[in-house]
Amino acid sequence: MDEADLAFGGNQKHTRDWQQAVLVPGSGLQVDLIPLERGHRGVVNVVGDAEGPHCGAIGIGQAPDAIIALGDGRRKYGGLVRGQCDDLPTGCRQVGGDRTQPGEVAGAEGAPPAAVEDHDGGLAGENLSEGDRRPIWLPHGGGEGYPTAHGRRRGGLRCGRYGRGLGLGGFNSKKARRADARQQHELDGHGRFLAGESGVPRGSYSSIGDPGWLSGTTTDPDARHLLPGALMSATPEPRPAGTDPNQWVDTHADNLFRYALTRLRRREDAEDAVQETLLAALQAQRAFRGDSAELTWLMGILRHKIVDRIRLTARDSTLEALPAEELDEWHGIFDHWRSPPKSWSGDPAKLSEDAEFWQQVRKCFAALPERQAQIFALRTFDELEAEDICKQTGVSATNLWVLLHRARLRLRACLEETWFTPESTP
Amino acid sequence: MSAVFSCREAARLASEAQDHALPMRQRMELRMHILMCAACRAYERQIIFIDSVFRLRARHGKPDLPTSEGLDAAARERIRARLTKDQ
Repeated sequence: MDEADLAFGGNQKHTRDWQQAVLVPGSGLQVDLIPLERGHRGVVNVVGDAEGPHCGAIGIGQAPDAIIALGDGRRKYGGLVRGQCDDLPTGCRQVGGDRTQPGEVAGAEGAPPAAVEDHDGGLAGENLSEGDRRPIWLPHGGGEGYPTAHGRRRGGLRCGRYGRGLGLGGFNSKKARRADARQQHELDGHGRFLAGESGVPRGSYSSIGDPGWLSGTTTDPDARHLLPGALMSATPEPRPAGTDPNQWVDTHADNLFRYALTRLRRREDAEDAVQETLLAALQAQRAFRGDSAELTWLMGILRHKIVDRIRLTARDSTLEALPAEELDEWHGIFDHWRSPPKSWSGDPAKLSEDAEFWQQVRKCFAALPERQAQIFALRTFDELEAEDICKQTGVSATNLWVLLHRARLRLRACLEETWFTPESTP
Repeated sequence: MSAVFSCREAARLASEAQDHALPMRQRMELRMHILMCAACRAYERQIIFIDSVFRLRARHGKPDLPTSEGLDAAARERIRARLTKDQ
């Protein structure tokens, strides 16, 4: 069972009555998902004695244990698939059924791409134990699918090892949806997965047994502030073992805060991001463990929180209307350099540890427009490739280059003036 | 200074070259310009310098800028309370 993942969710299409079946190949399980509504909060009731991770699939708007008549039979909607991983976090399997060969299940598209009504579903998978009632936040109609190892966005939940993609759900744009619909799995008339692309194993199911899951939902408005943003997308790293969430604030809050403040500028935003991060981490912590240092893990979550913010604000920002030429003059170029850049002396390696230098950088960085600063931090501090920044933030490549270009122009002008002038060169 | 294109264009391309592979033609033009223009040559070095100094800091475990500010006591308490409630 090496790298088996369970995945639920994806686009919900056509009607609100039922939606695609998500299958667990080889397990005899089928999970029918119903539309998940934007910003909805649900509670998964965990039943049974199985150890996690369980992959939650809850039917929003449905009463617990909702049974919906559907043509040939009755199906239970929502709920929790009992799963067990004997080798966390590499995979999940069904408990109690034939354990044949769990394979990967993508966020299947059971419905044809001709969408009448789209609902993106996003579900959280967690390591749960019996009696748990765990809130699950379903963000933004599912949030944006995380780019997976297969290089595409994918809806739904994945429960399993990071690196094969964690779960979240939905797609961001119609265009992406259409593209994905072509790529993703379709069900044929015999309930088999048709692998949409190479590298994804085929699976099949025979009958729908009672998977033994229950569901519950709630629409607790108080929970809305809980975890804005794509919860599970914010869980990029396995959690290191052996650390205590009670210590997080004491141990990591300052580092996380500084990280957030660098990028978000405003205290309140940074505080919020830290809180969101720790809450998301708390949600995720039982499901994952790994080797990465705790702070690194938390920062990974925080980075996703920040990226989410950038993505959410990118749409209504002035980003799309970047004034092309006027700004350049300010930076000292107008066809030719007004004051030609000089040759800087100094060793980047040494300077990178020079506290005084960084105090100056801080000032120059603070003078950057917010978006430039955020993007530049992602590109340098976080060492993200430009392409990945585009994917994650939704900023177009052209705009990204412009933003980085301007950030560099300003930073170099500022640093040349304040640090690299002959008087102040160390 | 080059006859090929302006320093402004060269500066833009020098930056873009840090973020993606330029098409051959642009790459050639940029290299030509930089060969002849000391200012743009210096500029290119400067932005590479800046990018790498940021990356180096992150690799030393500090993917942030120094600040005297920390999470204040009230925020700490609030977050702690929130976490406890959720646990």
